[in-house]
Amino acid sequence: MNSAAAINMDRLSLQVADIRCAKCALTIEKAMTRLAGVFRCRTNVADKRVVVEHDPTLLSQSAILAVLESIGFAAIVNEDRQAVMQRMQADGNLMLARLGVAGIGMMQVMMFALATYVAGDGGIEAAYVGLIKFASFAIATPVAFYSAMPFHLGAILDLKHRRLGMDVPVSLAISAAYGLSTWHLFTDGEVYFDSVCMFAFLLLIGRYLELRSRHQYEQSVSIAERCLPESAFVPALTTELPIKQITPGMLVRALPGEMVPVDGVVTEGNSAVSEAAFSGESAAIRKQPGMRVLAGSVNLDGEIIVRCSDEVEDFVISKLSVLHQEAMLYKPSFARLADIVAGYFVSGVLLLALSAGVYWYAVGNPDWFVILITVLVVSCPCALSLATPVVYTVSVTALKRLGVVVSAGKFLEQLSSINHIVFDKTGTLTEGTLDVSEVTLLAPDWTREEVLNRCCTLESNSRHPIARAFESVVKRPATNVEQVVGEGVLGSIDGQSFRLGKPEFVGFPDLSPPMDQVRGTWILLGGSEPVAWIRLDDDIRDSSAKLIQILKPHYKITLLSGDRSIEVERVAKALSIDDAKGDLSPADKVEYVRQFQAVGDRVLMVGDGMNDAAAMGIANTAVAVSPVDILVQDAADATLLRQDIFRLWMLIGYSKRIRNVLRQNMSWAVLYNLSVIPFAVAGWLEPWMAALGMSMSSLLVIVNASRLNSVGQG
Amino acid sequence: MEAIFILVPVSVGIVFLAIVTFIWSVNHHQFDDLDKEAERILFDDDQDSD
Repeated sequence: MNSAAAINMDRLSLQVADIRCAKCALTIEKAMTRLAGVFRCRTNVADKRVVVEHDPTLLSQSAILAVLESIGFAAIVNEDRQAVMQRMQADGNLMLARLGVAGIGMMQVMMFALATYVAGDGGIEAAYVGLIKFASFAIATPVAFYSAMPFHLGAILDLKHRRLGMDVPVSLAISAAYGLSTWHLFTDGEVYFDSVCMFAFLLLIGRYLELRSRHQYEQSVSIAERCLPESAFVPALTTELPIKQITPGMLVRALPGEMVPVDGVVTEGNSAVSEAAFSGESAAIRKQPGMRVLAGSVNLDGEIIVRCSDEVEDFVISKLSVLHQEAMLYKPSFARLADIVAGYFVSGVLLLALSAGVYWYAVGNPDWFVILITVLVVSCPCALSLATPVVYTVSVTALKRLGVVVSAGKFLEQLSSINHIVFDKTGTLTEGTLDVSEVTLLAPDWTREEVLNRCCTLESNSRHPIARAFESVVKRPATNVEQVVGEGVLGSIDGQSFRLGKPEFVGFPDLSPPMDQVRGTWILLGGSEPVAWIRLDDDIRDSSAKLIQILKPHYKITLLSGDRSIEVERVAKALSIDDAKGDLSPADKVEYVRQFQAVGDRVLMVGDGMNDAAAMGIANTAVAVSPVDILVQDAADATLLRQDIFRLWMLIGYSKRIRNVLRQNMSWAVLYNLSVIPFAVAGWLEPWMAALGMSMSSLLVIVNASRLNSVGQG
Repeated sequence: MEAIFILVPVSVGIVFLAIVTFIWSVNHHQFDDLDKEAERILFDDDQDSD
């Protein structure tokens, strides 16, 4: 098949939920690389992902999965998008077919049952009754086996894992009703085929709608990923390559109107690029050579060539979607409690149903069996188990549309209860991007342009905030460029060596900046002699003042900054923040947050995620305000990708709405289950009421959660 | 009333026919997009307008 030179290699991307620590990852890597046919195995603890590069002729995909299974890790193949879509469609269709069969069956069985109800005992000749019973049996059989299969499968799975889930009582009710009726066919007793069909139909309606709404959200999760093109044009090979085969360093082309296919740096061309998929911000950003672009953003008006910088799994858009899925799966502590309670609840229900049946049988009630199965169905705690997951799914998805990435599920829970907000200054309340506002020449034969030109050249490879100030000007080649953390950069331009940074670093410690100490940061450019002072300013965000003003009456507000006190005071004054502290080390910030918490405050830390990571980690919850291409995922529980800090206010309001909906859902679910059981036990509920009630209670929970679809001040 | 002996089995047969038809239509993409078809009538069909 393949020529001898070409290596037959497949890349298998797996999701392994059980990877909890580095040790698990190493175990997997070891086991994998020992296998014949595996070229490379990479694991990622944070993403719980394993990528195996293997030779499919020597080692099949299922063999790899089997090996993982044998060492205790269950893996799921990261299917490509098309497969996922197809699976979802197939699931939906199967469920619909089941629902249809149950519906049609129910209609006819009810029709038969109606005749016997109307006629009453002895109203119809026994031969006809027997015929009707057998006809009902014929129709109820596919309903009990085909339509109700999801309940049976679920119940079997639950029992296999030695737990009692929602499906157990439902499956039990349907099987018992069907089994007993079939027995009575031949022994001439009561049949309940109408109940079988009706349970199956009404409960499946709930299931089907739940499935549909889940698919809708799953689609919106992958919407960003779906936007990624399947392949990209590689000019060097003059051909299209599938995205998965594009490796870091390759150059790919994006035409106007196309999606940018990879994360990387523009090497040629100039175009407006919209990053709306990430930040919800529709305004396009002009990208020039040297600037970073992200896969999934839209190239609007020019052709660009992009040098790919990461593997497809490491694209920001891929990471976002992993974070997003994790956050949706989050369960707050009370929901976990609810799950445990639901387990006991089910066993309680089984006992209760059984004793109700026994009691009514002993009393001589002919409906004892109907009461038994009614209790089984009505008390199934489906709504209880749906109440929180559905809220998290809806809200995390709604927030994503707004450019807020929730990376820790606890965020939404905690945010609604905070009372103290701590802000970082640089990059949070201020733009975080420095602009050159003033150049003071020290050497006579230099011009402002030449100075800036040298600075740009030196800083061109740096990602330090200061480097961003020098981005837009034309550069020249520089050699021996070296960056000294916290000091500055040095390098040679046209044979002359230069240093840019603090005066001590440049070699003129005695030199002090010209006048106006209060605003901005001064840095010095120098070679053998000082050349020029450059002042960089960091502007306060437009929305900061508005945000502080609106938050101030409700929350304690503190500004903690590592910047010089004098600068911090200026910003604090401009924003009318009373409590501001400057000259803080990261450790000092942690100490302050601890102190606040010690007096009982619940602290929200808002930072840019770079130098506040430690403080963000210990705060009750943390939000990062970060540019799209630097996704902060470790320290912050959520990231505002759109650089509009005013959204914080909206976010806090939204978190309160979420809390309310959660409470409503939980109390409704608990209330429903508790209040309806006595009626069922007393025999006052018809079976159809029980089935309808259970479906409706689940639906109500879903509908209530979907109110959170729009994020706004509600 | 002997007709019942024919009619009831016939009704069961019709039900199974309905079930088969329904499953056929599900598998032939008749229910794939429930929202689009409802709105289709609201839009002009540019291609085939006579």
